[in-house]
Amino acid sequence: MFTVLFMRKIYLFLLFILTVFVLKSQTSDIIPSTFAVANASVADNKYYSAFQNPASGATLNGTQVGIQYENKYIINALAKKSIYFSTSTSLINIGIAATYSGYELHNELLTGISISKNFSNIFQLGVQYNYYSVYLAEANKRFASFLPQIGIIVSVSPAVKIGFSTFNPGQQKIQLKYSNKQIPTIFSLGTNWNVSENLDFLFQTDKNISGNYRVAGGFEYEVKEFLSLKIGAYQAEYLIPTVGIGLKLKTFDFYLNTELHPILGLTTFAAIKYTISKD
Amino acid sequence: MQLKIRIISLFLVIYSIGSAQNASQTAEEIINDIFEQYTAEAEETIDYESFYNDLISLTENQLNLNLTTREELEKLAFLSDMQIENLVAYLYKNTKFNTIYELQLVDGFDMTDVRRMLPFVKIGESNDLQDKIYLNEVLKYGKKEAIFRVDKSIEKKKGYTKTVDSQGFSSSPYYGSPIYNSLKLNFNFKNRISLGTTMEKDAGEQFWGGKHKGYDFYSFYFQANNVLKLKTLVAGNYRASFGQGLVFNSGFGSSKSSYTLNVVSRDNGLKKFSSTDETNYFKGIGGTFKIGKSEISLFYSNKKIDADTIDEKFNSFYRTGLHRTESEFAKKHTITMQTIGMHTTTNLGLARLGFTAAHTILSDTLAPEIAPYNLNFYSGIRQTSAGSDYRVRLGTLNVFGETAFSNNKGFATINGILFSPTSTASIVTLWRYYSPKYDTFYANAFSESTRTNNETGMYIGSEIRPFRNWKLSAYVDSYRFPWLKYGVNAPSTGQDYLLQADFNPKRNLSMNCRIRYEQKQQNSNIIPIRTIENYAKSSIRYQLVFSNGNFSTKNLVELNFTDSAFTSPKVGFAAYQDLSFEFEKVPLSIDLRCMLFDAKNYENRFYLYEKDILYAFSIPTFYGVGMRYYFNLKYDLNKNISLWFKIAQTMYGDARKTISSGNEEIQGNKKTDIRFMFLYRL
Repeated sequence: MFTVLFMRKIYLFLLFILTVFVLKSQTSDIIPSTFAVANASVADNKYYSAFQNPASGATLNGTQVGIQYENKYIINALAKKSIYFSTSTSLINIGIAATYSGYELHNELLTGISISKNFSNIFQLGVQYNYYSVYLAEANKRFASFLPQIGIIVSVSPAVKIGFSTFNPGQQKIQLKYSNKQIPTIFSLGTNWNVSENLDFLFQTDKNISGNYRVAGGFEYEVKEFLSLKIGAYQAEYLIPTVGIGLKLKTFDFYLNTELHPILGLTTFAAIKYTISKD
Repeated sequence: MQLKIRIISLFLVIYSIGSAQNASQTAEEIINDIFEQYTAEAEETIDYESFYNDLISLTENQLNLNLTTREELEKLAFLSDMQIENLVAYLYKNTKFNTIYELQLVDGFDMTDVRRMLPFVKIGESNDLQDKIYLNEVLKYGKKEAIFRVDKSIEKKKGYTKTVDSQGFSSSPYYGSPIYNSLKLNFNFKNRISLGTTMEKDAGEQFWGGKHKGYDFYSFYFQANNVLKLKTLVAGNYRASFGQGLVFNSGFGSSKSSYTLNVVSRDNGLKKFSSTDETNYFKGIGGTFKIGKSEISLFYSNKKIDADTIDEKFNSFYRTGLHRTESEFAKKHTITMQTIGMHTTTNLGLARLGFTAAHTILSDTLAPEIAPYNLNFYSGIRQTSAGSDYRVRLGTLNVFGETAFSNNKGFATINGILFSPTSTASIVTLWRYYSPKYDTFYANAFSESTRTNNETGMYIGSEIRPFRNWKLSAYVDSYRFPWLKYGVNAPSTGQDYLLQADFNPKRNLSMNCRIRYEQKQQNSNIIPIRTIENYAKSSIRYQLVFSNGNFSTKNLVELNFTDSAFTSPKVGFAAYQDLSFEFEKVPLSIDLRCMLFDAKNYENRFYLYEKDILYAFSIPTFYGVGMRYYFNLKYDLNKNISLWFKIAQTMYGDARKTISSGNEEIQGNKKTDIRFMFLYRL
């Protein structure tokens, strides 16, 4: 009882602070979405969220491989195809991921390898090293850059986690002949509140250093052991509602998330995860 | 029955705190936390070294709670007057403490206060301060330390860029190298005898060359306590603080902070000065004698100060201590400032009365530029000021104040009442009036502006503990500047409000939320409208600190808003994630921070504390859009040698091409600083 009351107090504080932000959009074109509701995965360590928070893979046991497809506004050229692999060892956990989007004249590839460690379930720390390359037809050339990423998830109580991650903190950019192509530098701070045994509340704010803010939140409810539902929203230039569903069938997990932009339309995200082995 | 309750309470207290010991902060962390609370809203540089030295020396020579005095307890800056009063009253009623944890039975003390006190107090029977001193003991048991520090900025500043003149000679605006270096040698024997020397060279100052040889700043200090008939003897560089600071306060002045009750200046008397601060000290000799119920302090200072002199006149003191360029070098030590001061205080049981006087002679005439706002600033060659202070304690009521005059017909008075109706609530009221003509060299009393003059105001602060683990602190300060100020071309008014809620649900988890609102008046930027306008700044800050064993994290989110009559509202945002880890098997501790700030306008700038190496305390200013991260490392090579290293980088994301201006200008959008410190302790 005390824990629940205490968690509420923490959340009242956090919600009060975070919801008064100026709510505008951020653009993080190159980063693929995750399974988490409203993409609020920074404090969520249930899944390995490639390119979101490298610490997210620290508590996972066994070896997993997955693919995901994100069809942004039903425009093929914007679709992101991703693949990832994660495995745990006695010392550290390792994740490898790659995502591709674009078309013949302009395409982007982001690959990364992460190392994460769980410190006595008190906190998880992860670092990821990414290689980003982009092909630009006008230069008839592929440009590339290395981008570090660092993240942490702290369990401030058994029910509450706080997560922080930063993508491209060094503000690397692609140097073109007459201009630069910006690669987003993103800071994310959020929480994951395990309200009850089968209900999680996720809340997150992101800031692109040369863009604006994004605030996201939502609930993930485990209806049955094999079925989970997700509902939430994020505030960009517009308030965008998101819903999702997750299915667990022995060694396979399926996820389907959708969101509706009031002008640009529907985005769907589908993922399949296969657990090769469990420790 | 009362004894039983006391025993049971004591048991509960020991149980609750005993388990907290493992997670207790180090003295260094506690001092940093306290200083951060004090200075969180400060926009001026405050001498951290002196503050740190005062408290850290208490960890090596802890106060014996059973034999302590009010005066000794006042050294613990984080205790309010009411807490000190309650502690003294508790000792009077109960004779002595059986255990240190009994402190929580004292009214007004909670677990946080007790934890903070732990490194600085002890329970014992004898008082080292009364023991006779033998030279062989001093030499054998005295603690010696040597501290060597080096700082450097990685990026080249404009001031170091060499240019070649028509005759083929190359030179740069700064004479010296971009390396900052200081060396300190300290000796301390049980807080009875201390002496040491400090040497410093700022970045850009020449260490060895045509203009200068050796360090730019040298200082020496000596202090002896309770030796012969003297309560205190100081020589070399020292500080002097008396009463409420209207005549003398070269120490840490009382100011507005989230310690809303701590607005009463602590009468610190004469104290050694070992800091690298190059301006705020006296240089000479002084002593405090005890005669019956009275104490008399006499001191003399003769020091060189910096100013731009022309025809034996100067218009202001040059206080940066930087001598990097030809023009800065020309200001070095151009004025001699002689000061003679005295203070006497008499204890009359419930009341204490004091009198302070100062007379200063300058070698040249101070003649401020003629401008309306500084019409009342002091000008002349000799200045005399004198004041009388008092403090009366009547149970839970504490009345205090000081009134002072200066020879140019200046007048200042500050008076307050601190009242604690219950053990869970305290309130302080402070009224001040500093006339525009009261402009003295060493005054540093409670005020809104940095100068103790041209101000009148009323401050009300309170602290309430409404529920277990909760503390609410609030203040309201309403003030008026009867004459013009720099940047304000008319008499003006202002209000300042603060509300802070602290919540400590568990021993390893604490959080606070602070809301501050300030409204002032300033010149309008709209031309030709020559008027002053209201300017408001508000901020909201949430901070969460979590620790578990040797690991701790801290999150901070802050938003601020500015608004004025002729401009649109502006918003600033900053957030950071801190991570600290202390290794178990290796004597190594690390601190990491990653921070984001988005304050496109200077008005929305942030002052955010960051961890640093020993004796350094950073509250950098942030505006623009960017990020900052640092890595701080401490390694104890053995029991005698410790090493510190820090690297910090600020990286702007707002497409700026340069950082800073003038000789400090850096090309690019990155600024990287490294610091290294070596400590040898014997």
